Amino acid sequence: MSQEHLRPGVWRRLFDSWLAIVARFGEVQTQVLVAGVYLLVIGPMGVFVAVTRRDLLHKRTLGVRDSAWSPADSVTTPDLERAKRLF
Amino acid sequence: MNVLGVSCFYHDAAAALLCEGELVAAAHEERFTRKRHDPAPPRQAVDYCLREAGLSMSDIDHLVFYDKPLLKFERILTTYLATFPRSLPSFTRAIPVWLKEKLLVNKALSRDLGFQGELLYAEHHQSHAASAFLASPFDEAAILTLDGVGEWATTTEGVGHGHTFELTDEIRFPHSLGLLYSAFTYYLGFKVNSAEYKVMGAAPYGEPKHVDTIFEHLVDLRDDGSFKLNMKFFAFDYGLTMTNARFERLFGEPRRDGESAMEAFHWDMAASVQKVTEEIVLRMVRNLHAKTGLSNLCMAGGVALNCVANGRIVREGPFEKLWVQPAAGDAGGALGAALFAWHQILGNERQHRMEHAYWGPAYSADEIQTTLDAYGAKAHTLPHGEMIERTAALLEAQKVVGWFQGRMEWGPRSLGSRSILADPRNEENWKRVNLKIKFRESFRPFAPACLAEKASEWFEIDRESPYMLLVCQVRADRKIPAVTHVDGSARLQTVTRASHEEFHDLIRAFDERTGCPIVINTSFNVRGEPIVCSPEDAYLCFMRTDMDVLVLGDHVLYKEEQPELEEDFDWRERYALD
Repeated sequence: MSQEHLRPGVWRRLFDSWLAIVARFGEVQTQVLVAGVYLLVIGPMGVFVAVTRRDLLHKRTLGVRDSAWSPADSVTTPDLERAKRLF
Repeated sequence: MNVLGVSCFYHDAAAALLCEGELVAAAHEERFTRKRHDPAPPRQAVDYCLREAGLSMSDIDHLVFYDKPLLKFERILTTYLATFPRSLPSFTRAIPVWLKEKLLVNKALSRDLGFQGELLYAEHHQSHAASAFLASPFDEAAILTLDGVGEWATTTEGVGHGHTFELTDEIRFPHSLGLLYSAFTYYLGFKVNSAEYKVMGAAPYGEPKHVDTIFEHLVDLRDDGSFKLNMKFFAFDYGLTMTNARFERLFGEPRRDGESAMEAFHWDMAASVQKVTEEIVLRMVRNLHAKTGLSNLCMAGGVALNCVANGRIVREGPFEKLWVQPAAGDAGGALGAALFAWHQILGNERQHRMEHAYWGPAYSADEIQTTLDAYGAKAHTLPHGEMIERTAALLEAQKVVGWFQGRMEWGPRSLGSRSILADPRNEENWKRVNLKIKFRESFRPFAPACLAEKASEWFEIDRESPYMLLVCQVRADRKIPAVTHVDGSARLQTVTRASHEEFHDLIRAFDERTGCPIVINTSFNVRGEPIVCSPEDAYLCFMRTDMDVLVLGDHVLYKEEQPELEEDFDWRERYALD
């Protein structure tokens, strides 16, 4: 490959400039992208949860006789295959 | 077969190694990296464990992580859904870390620890429960785990028999006793996941005036000990803080600035949350006893480090015996994960019962000498018995002694291997060690280490407390003001010769001189610094503070004989205040 091919064109210079900015402000960019994901993905589902008044975290108060204990989620007879899973 | 347990990524990373089911080594990463509560993969702690066993990573059959990352991530995403749109700042901060590291546990641990096999995962509270029951002296026991949060569970209860246990019930996030306590820790200006013990230490200075307010507005407590938090007053589910403006309005005061003076209101708040915690724990314990009918109780999780609550369980609870794993917090999850895999998954019977907490590194006389030579330190190397007698005489002469002996402790307490010692009969020692040696808040009490065989003569206690996890009353006719809190209580460590020969011999020698079988025992560090690990750490801590004497193995060093320590930085800036 000749040196000519490596010479940056306009797009390449723009891209390199963008990379330089990103390197400097990478954290800000990450925050912006993640905020976008929050608004576009979590947002609609969050609005749905709010509108339908779903109590995902069981925040509502207890009835007088209710217990806040719930059956444990743990498997009573753990096995090697389950232990290999991240969930 | 060799099983290595690991905890990391949140706080208090640690490693614990089982060889054929026997615990060989366990250590906190912070002790090696010198970063308090270091959450990074515990590379140095793992290296130490392997070195102690004479193994390499290729000899490890199973590496076990102490929680299930995807279950935890599910909880976090669900929480963001439930708290949209207020959780945006938390989301933007947390998600990149999850995507980069926490969801890729296997890759991170392979890269950082060099393990090439398939990772195993235990659930967070299974790890706690395993560390509580499977390391305990009991063949059968009820189990209670209490902490901030794991995957979903914040509290679990269950039963252990033989080499297995079953968790039957749980309380789920955001309803968490650990997070309630942390919320008050935050409100009182202390560091969350670090300084909860300061709130416990502050509590006896106040009156529990706000208990009714807490139960009326913040905590819905049921007869069976279960509870729900009123999340309108908290921010930890959606924000970057623990409490919100409504919480401050409820109590009529803003959050305390960390380094400002504690006032009556703050002492009262500390007393109130402590009282509430005790009431909840006691109710849970009674309910668990009623359900299981067992006489033994094991506990783990960060809340199990609340030794005031533990003391009340011993005095008031229906269980005959209580055992709390010395590293009850998340670091102990490393031990629990390894035990869980060995017993619950692989089905092995129990051989190991934890009888002491000294599972960290020891240093030979040659290694100590090398350190002393490197600093040009002047040491008096004495025959062992003479070193004991000399140290006891120095304590009697009101010298403050840095004490470095044998294997380092497992867990957050110094138990006589890496300790600062002084005479408990002299109240001045309390102020001096607090302010001039540890550079910490003046209100914080010191713990007594007492010969186990004489503990009941000095304290209102009928059992051993080897891990400094029980608070009891000092007998009214005994005068040990430097270790007696304002309410007459003390966070007692009982010492047997079987568990720590040198430490027991020293206290006995001090007793023979003074008639007092007790010494002040506080951790060998300054405020914000991890407890010392190596002879070098100990020498530097000794030279940077007003400690009078350092005893490293059989070497006795006097401050006035040491060459000036030359450092080109201010060590105080190295350790952030907690």
